[in-house]
Amino acid sequence: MPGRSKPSVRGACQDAVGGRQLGDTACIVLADGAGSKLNSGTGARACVQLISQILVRHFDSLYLGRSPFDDGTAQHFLISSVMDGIGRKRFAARDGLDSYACTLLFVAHKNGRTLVGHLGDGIVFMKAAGTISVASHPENGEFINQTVFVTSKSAETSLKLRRIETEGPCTFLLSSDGPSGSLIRKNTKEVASAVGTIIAWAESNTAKKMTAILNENLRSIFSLRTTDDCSIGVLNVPFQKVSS
Amino acid sequence: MPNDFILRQEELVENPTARLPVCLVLDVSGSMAGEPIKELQSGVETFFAAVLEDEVAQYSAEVAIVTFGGAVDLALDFASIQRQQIPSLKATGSTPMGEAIEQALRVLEARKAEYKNAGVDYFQPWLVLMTDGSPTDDIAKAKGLINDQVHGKKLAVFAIGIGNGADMSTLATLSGGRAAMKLKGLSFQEFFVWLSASVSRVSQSTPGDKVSLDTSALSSWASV
Repeated sequence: MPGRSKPSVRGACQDAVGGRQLGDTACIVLADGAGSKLNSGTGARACVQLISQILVRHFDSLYLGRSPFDDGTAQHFLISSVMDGIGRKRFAARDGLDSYACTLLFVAHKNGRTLVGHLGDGIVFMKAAGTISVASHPENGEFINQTVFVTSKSAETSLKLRRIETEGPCTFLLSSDGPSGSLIRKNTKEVASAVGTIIAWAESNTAKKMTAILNENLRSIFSLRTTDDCSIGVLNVPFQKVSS
Repeated sequence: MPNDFILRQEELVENPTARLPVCLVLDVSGSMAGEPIKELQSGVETFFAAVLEDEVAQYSAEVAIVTFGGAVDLALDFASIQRQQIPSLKATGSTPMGEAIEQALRVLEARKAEYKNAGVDYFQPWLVLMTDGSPTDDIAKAKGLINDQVHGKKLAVFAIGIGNGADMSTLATLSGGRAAMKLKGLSFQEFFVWLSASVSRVSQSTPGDKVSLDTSALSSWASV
């Protein structure tokens, strides 16, 4: 959902979110394009497409922290893949890679193992064993308008990867920075009851229905509470089945 | 969409608006007597009025005023702008600019500490220095502190010279690398209108934005 602060000429939302499933592996990826960067929406969409493909194809290596081609760390492989992909999308030599800047959040799950990735702002919540918690907090600079992007020099070292093992059903909710201000109280880290509500909806509705529910809430609730772009993605892992 | 699938407001939490702390460091030395101090007073009042009229900036911008004229005075401490009373500026005395800058930096650090303790997000603070003369105290420490903060990207400094007596070369060393600017005549109103518009731009920026100030409007108040 585009933010109310965006100039009309850049009315398109600069966030992107998408999911993918391949066999026993499912993932959801969210990228938040930098507001001031001309091509950041394109960067965010490219990021979501590339990372989701990589996650479902190479989950096992990445879960172990390794590049699937044994040429470095998982972080190096993920970031360099995104940068290569963005590089292929640059049509005008004048557009620097920096103009495609975006943050990155993802959750990938396979057979009780979950890999959570986080670069920049936004937040990842999870529900496992009936308990809702934060799977990954944002890590930004001192100032509200400082964060790390996939195009930042420190992207590889800043990309956090967390490995979680679960038994039984679990659900993950990814939020870009826009809605996150309504979902967690920053000083006390209190999680809003809305997180549990959204997760409950995801557990009892189809993916198609859930997309409609999220769209309506982004439009009529979250976008009225922030001027930032808004996006939310949910990955629901029912016992022995995955849907996103 | 049935209401069953629409979140209720009670299910969401509120967080305080991100703050932009701005410290005006104003020369009220004896040489500012007469028209300059009157125009400066009027400009400051214009600035506050413009911020209060801005839907976003009024909840984001926080302003403190440190004056220097004979002595250094924290004329107005940080608080919600709706509750602040603009001080009456009076011209008198020498120009202890170095001490004033050090005081301003302490006030900004203290405010940031309060934000951190309260879990309130904030933008990079601003220090706006306006003077019509040369410092009458030692500015070496102030210069070092400013340079450290600006180079560490902890502070933005705007250094403005007023009138022909303003020591622009000294001001240039106190602006952390940004060019010191000379006010066109006594166009304080135009400067503070530009400053309030700049505050509004930053207040409305979203995380990840790099905000560019309106350089095209500089000519309304700055001598080029």
